[in-house]
Amino acid sequence: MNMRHEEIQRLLHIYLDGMLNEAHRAEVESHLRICENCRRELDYLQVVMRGIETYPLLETPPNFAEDVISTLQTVSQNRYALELIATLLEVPKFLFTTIVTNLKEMAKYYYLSIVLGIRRTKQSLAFGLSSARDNLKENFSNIINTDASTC
Amino acid sequence: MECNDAQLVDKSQKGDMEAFRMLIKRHEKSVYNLAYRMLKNVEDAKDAAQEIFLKVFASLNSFRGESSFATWLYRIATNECINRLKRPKFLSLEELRREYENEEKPIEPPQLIDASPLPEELAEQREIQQLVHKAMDELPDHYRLVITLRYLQGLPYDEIAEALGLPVGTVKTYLFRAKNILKTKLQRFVDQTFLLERKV
Repeated sequence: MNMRHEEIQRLLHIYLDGMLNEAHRAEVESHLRICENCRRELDYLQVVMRGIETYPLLETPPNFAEDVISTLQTVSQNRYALELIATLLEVPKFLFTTIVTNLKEMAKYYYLSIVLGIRRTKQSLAFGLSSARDNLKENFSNIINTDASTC
Repeated sequence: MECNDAQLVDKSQKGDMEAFRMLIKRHEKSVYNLAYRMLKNVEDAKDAAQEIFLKVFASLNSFRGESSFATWLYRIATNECINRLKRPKFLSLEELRREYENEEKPIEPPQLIDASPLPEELAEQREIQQLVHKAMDELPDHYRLVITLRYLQGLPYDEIAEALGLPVGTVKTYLFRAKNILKTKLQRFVDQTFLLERKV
């Protein structure tokens, strides 16, 4: 397998990472023996790698782990306190909700009573008017019938 | 006998704070350094690292052990760092002044931190290394992230891919491009130095 020059230069990165398979590694190494450009490329990459690897590591700030644990404990204590407050707040909330619900129910009851009352009154008025009209009709027809019989 | 990560996670899930403290101790340096590489500021790095471990604790029960604890931790850590990088940063007047001064300065090879006399070759090596470090700081965030995970945390390609939720091929491409950027900057510096030496 004869690889292209650009392909070899791409593989040099993986070669330096030690992650090339046996066949590719052999191909890269045989190419390096004959190619001055790729050897220079490899030199540059090795300097870059050394630069990366020597990037200094910082020490963690003192008591870092303890600070995290203490923050966690504070958060959890605050959560318990909040839960307690929430529980205590439940009592007035319950009372308030009950009163409001009851008030709402009462208001609904009275509202319905009034509306129904008005409707009933209207109905009875309407009923009264229609029965009065029927009575009049009946009386009128009686009068006509009586007059006709007397004639 | 010292517990491994899985055992410490198991204990922490049951509320053992001492186990969680040991877990933090084991990974604090890599998380702190990852945050420092990404955020380039000691205070921000400390703050982010604390936040990362608080998030780890909060979501510890969702960890099922499908990946290693370290990979899972790096996923949370990288997400936290990326989110922080997206946030608008408000600089103090002093920081603004420093940034302005840095912008005004011409780009030049960094000065040696250690001023004690060194053999010439060693000094040159140090100078080149510091140039690479500076170039690393200037890399785009996603390239800096993969470089950090691969060469400073020592994660293999597949674990980086898993931590970042990227295909392995993309990780390789990012590494290739990142190293090419570093190499180009290095080449430019070496060529310039070479030209200067020839002029002298």
